[in-house]
Amino acid sequence: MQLSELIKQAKRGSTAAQQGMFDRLADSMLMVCRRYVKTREDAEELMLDGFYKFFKALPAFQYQGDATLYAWLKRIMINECLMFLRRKNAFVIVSETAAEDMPLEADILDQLSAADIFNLVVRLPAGYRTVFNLHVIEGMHHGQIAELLGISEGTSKSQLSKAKALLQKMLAHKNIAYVKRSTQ
Amino acid sequence: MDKTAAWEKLSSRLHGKKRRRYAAWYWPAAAVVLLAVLLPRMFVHQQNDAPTAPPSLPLPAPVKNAVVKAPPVTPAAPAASEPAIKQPALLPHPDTATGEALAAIPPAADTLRSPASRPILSLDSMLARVTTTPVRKKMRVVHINELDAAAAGQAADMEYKPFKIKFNNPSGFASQTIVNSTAQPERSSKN
Repeated sequence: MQLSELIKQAKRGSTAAQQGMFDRLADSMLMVCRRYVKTREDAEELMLDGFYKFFKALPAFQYQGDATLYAWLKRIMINECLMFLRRKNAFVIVSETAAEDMPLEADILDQLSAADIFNLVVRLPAGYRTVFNLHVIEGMHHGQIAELLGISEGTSKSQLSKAKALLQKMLAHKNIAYVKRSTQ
Repeated sequence: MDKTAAWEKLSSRLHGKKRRRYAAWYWPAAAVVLLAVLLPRMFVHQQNDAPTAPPSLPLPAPVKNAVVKAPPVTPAAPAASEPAIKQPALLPHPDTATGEALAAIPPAADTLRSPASRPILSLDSMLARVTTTPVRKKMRVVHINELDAAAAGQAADMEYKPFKIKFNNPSGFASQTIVNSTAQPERSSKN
């Protein structure tokens, strides 16, 4: 069944349609949440909170295509994660003005699978990870990130720079490990 | 991720409206219970604050085995037709419990009371109060000449039992013991 049809039925209060939508969207939304929080249990809980808000607000939703639905649901999940990080006080960003752009080396990334990159991103500190996720994966500008997190644009840039530097270090270590393993 | 378990968890949250709807009834129910408890208390409190009879008009205390000579009250008396508020005027005075005295009692005690605090008595309660009115025992007054010799002597002795009088004035302290009418009083010297 198409998503548009599921949304129509779910708006009418059909529990089966709601379950169908949940089954179809749960995995991708869980991955979104897992990028922002470290533990899987927290991510699952946040995903359920996000779906709860989604189904509550569904009657007011105007369907304009699957992309808009995904974007809206993803935004709900990200907001849930950010609220969770604020509640846990894990999201502490030291204000910094100096920012230096540090590009990631493409050849290092090529040697890693998506799962490896994901695992490295999850190991970043909360502040670095959040800004990295919002900028690199969600595609937000620093102005948007600054507004969303309540920080200055410079701080967002510096956090991203440090996150990239740390990722490079981690990738370099991993690369050395790969090299060592391959030479043995 | 166990999607079924996750969906059940989410579904219980989504469709848990009924419980919340029931919970909404708890507040009115609690308010009704609170009013039911508080209103009688406030009513009693207001009654306690209402003006009462002045303390100089005490009500007679009930005394058992009191003998009262009250005229019989007929049930079909005009008291039933009279306004009930005038009935307390027929209450006997604690000192005099006779029927004649009942009629002579001025209704001041009851008229002084405010209408709110004045008790509205029925005929039965009025009778109950009349039969339990206290009566003072009057001792018979006898002249000493009417007594026989022994009793008179005893009475005479009783009159002259020795006793001591002490004086204390600015000039000093003195005491005097009186033995009987014929004996001279023993006087102590002044200090």
